[in-house]
Amino acid sequence: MSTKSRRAVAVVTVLFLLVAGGLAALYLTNRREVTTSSAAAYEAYREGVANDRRFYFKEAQVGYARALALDPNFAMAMLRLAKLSNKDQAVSLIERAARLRGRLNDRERLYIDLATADVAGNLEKRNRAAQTIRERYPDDIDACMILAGNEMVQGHAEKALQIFSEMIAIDPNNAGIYNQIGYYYAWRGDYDKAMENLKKYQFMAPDQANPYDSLGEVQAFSGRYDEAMANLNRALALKPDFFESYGHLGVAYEGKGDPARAIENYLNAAREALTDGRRSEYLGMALRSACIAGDKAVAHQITQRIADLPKDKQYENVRSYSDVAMDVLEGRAAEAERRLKEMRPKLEASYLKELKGSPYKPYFPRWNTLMALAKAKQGKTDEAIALNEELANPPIPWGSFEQRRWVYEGRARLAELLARKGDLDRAEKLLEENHRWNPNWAPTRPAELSVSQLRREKVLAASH
Amino acid sequence: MDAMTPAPPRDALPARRSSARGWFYAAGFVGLAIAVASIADMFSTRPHDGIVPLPYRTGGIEVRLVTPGGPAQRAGIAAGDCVLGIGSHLVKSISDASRELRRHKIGEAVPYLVRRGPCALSPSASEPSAEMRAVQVRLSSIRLGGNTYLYAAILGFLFFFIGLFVFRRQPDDRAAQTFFLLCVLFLLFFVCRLRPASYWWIDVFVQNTGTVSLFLLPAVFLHFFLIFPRPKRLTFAKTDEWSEEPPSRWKTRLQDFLSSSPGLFYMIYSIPPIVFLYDVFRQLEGQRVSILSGAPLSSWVLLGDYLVLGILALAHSAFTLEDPRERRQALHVLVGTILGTTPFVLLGIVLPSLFNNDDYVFYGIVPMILIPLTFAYAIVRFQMMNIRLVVRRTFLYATTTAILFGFYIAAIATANALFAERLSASPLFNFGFFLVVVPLFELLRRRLQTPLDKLFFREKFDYQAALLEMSEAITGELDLGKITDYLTASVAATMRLEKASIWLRDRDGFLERRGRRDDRLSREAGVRRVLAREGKPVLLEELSLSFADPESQDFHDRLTAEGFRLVVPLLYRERLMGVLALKEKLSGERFDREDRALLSTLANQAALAIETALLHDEMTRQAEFRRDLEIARDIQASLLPRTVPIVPGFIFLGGSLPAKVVGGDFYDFIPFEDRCLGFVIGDVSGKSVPASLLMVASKEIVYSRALTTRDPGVLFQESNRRIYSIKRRMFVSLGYFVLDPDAMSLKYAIGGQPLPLLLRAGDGGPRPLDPPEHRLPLGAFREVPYDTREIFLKRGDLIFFYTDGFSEAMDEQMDPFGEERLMRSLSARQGESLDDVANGILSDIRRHVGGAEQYDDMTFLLLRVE
Repeated sequence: MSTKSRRAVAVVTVLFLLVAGGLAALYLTNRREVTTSSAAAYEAYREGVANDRRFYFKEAQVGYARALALDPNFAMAMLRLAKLSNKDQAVSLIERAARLRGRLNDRERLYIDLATADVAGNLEKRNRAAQTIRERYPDDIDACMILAGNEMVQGHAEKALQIFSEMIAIDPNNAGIYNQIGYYYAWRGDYDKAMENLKKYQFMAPDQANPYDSLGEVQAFSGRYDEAMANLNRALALKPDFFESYGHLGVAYEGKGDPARAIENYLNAAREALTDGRRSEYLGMALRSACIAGDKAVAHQITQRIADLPKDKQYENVRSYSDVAMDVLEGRAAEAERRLKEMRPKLEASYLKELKGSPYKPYFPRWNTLMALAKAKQGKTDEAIALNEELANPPIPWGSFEQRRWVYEGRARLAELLARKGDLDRAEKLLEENHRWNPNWAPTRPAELSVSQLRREKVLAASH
Repeated sequence: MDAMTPAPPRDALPARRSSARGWFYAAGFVGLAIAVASIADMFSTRPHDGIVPLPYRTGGIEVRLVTPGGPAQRAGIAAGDCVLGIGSHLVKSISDASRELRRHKIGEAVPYLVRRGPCALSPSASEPSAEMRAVQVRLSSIRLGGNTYLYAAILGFLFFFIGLFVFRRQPDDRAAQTFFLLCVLFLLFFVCRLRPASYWWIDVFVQNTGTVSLFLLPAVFLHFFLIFPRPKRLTFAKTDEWSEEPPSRWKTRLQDFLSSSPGLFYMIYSIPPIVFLYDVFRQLEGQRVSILSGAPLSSWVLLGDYLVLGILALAHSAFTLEDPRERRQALHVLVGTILGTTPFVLLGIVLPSLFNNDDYVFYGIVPMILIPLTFAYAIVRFQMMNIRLVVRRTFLYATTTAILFGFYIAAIATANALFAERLSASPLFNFGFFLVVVPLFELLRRRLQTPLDKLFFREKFDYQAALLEMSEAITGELDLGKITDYLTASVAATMRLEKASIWLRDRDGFLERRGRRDDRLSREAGVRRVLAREGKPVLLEELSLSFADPESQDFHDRLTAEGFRLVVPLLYRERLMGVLALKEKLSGERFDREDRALLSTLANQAALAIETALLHDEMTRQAEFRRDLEIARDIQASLLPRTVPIVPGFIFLGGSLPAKVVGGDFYDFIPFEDRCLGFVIGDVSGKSVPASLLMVASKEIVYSRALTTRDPGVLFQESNRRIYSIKRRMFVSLGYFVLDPDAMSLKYAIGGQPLPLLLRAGDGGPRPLDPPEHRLPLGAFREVPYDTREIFLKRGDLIFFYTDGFSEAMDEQMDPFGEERLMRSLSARQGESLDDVANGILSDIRRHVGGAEQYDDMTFLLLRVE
């Protein structure tokens, strides 16, 4: 072979290697759906996402934080960490990510739009961003969850399920979708279908805590307390710091009529909770349970723990609610009413600020409940009835089990008040409706007993 | 075809049918290969869960059956359940399940998500709710839970082999072809459709093949019964007896259509695929299709309908066929079919489908064995096959399979030991092993054939060896008599026959029975052509003598009457050398295929030996003939006079030119004491040695009579009686002359000879001597009153005595030389010497004859008076 030929071969080989290397680099770069210069950061991020999908939020936090430590400009790690952080910290992370916008890919930019809208409470913008992501990236599970959730809160359950069905068609073994479907069915009261989907979820992720927790939660709210406890304990066995399961165990015990164990579990959940917001939520539940049980001492202790929470934007409201609850518990009904009236404008302002674009009028079931109790204790039965009517027929029909609980308990109180006023037929209808949701819920049992007693008295009176 | 045109006999069907054999063999081979692969796959080392899935489901794996005692049953999964997940993954189709099972090993406990009740058709999230549970299924390598499938598989193969033997027996018969196809479909149905399916690709393939067989089966089933035992012809469109009106056109068309018309068969074959496609489209549109025992309900309904129609057609045949033999045949099959199919339909299909109870499937399958058995019985009873061969083949293939199975086990064990189960668990292992086994199978079968025959069929093996030995023995024999005697005696003894006879070709082309000259077949007998065309042993009853001549029919009837069963044509280069006819075996068994194959071989050898013997005989005869000719030539040469007598005043010249080696002409002189001279010239009918002998005899007779009488007429009368008494159907033409030199007279008598020509000087051309009144040849009749003539000679007279070889010498256009030419030739040579006269005449004759061969002897005598 001549020298010329050898050179030509060498040039062609080098060019070939360059093209192949470039294509390989392009291929490898394109394989990452997120922008990061660090392979280790990417691995940490993926680990975080995997834990996020398992609902192992602490581990997910650690993963995202590690990814950020390895690549401080890792925008998606910031956004995901923001979702698991307190609000102030979340805002800060989202702003940081937004500053990197110029070097991010299309999907990441859309996610920044989504997160910004979310933290600003602009639901319309958030949904638009989620819709765009889904249109451009049909396999994006997070956008799908947001859109389905949005449909659900608007009462469009079929549309939500349609979105999930489409996701199943793309990724039939995505366990998280079955979890969501299960919840949506459960919130609608269709427990059989909920259980079926959650069992699929459990089957697909038998080594994770969340499937057992989800099953346990649905069982707890539907009155199958023993099965719920078994599943929840199994979830805790798999992951002892899985605070959601403590919370759901609290619900199960509360439903079964064991407020002490319920409070204990709520407090455990508050202890393990990841954010202050969730912590205050569980403490509020514990307080409610103590109030229903009439345990003033425990209620006082819980109130004290609520008072000790970090003073963020929600603190005032949480604190005010706990004080009102204590007033109601300790018989200061007028004081409670006064405080609640003072709270109302602040709550509405906060609502309008945080949930821009929400299609619903401001609605605060906790406030309604406490006000109705305060009114009832003062003998303002009609006003109490009106407040309970609003609770029984909320503007947002399917939000979560907690929201369902407000409806359920409001309905029970309404039934009791109506029965006392003599409208036993409607009272019984309301209770019957409750029973379809959960036939054996201990906190509403006094109201149910009261209605049945009144019916008996009426029957006896009629027979005499 | 109108009513006056006779239907062609079944044997006379066009030969193009034979090209269809290949297709049927190919179909059979493909069916057998799939069935064997299906069986082999049952023993593969893949993990199995004991679930037989229902096809056509996409919302999960709907459990059609669980193998008894299998992993699924032990885990509490039952028929009718829906498997939604395997090993932490949801499954929606059989391919999903296959993919999931590949991730697990044999012996591993795998979680299954199971729901009671049917699976949803679409993978919607809004599936109907039912109690779901997760169970642990410990995967196993064993597929079969019970024996039901084994029995079904055995039955399938039994069907196949019976079908194959019937087809091989009559490969051009349409009913046999359809029956074979039906048997192949039954094989696929039993082996593939009833197989406890799993999720692997081969299962899908095998199951689909089984499904195809299921929707083809009814059509072939009905087809077969419409042409068995012979194509059904309906005759409901008849002319009205009273009004004599012809049947309506639509009635005639309907009758033609239903009478096994191609259109009817197109329709029969079209309906099942249409129904099947209709079901497929319904499923594609999301509609639910009822499934019965793993196949669409419509397929079963169709099978049932066609079955009923087929049985009705068969029943019609059983009661309406003209031939009682065929009626009985149809009746046997009808009874077997009804008894065989009814329990299967009830216990194998209806009961499991309606009551989810498959405990009695076995009892439904077992009676199905009646179908092939009744077919076999009908076939054996009506002489179509030999069941022994089936048994023999069964032994052979069972042993081969057992050895291969052992080899397979050993291979797995070795692979497991070497590769820690990884290779042997792979589907590639089975595929590779299959590739290795395919060529081994035939090799092994060949190796096993002889020892198995020795082991199980000693007697058969012995006589096969004896036949081969016989074949070798006759090949070395040259004596035709010995060959034929040995052949008939040995065949009869070895095959244990009542009797064997042989007809041999003789020199005239007749087929003559050995030892019975009166039992002959002429060259024109049609049966000879039939046998030559057949070319192999054929049962007398199957020998097609349609349009045969009376002689052939008579031959056939004679053989039948004598109890012969099988005729074996002995053919050498497509020439029928003879026919070997065999009576029944003493055991009563039929001649099976191997008997016939061996007899064919033997017949070929025998024909060759006979041809060789005939050739040898002919050569010997020719050699003897040549030797005889030599002797005869010597005799004749000794009889012709070496010199001519010297008679003062007379000159003689004689000569003879024989046409062959030895002629029948002669001449001689008889001198008397009184100076008179007798001479004779003659011609014996026939040539060669017998003619020479007759010539000798005639000459002696004339000599002896000449001593007692000088009157030629009297001498002829006496000699005629003597020659006539020889009774050889030969006669002698003679001319006898007595020359008296003193009286210058010539007395003569002529018996059959041409009249000598007299050329008298100055008297014009030659003329024949005056003819005697009686000139018949001697020996033709007992009493002939020969008379004597006399002429007086003058100086210069020339007389030419000759035999008919001169006047009848012919040229190539068969134009004889004739007396006229002879006389002209003689006349032209009047003054020449006798030698010149003789040579001149002969040269004239040669010139006339040209290149033509000499037809007859030419003998002459010339007498000149000086």
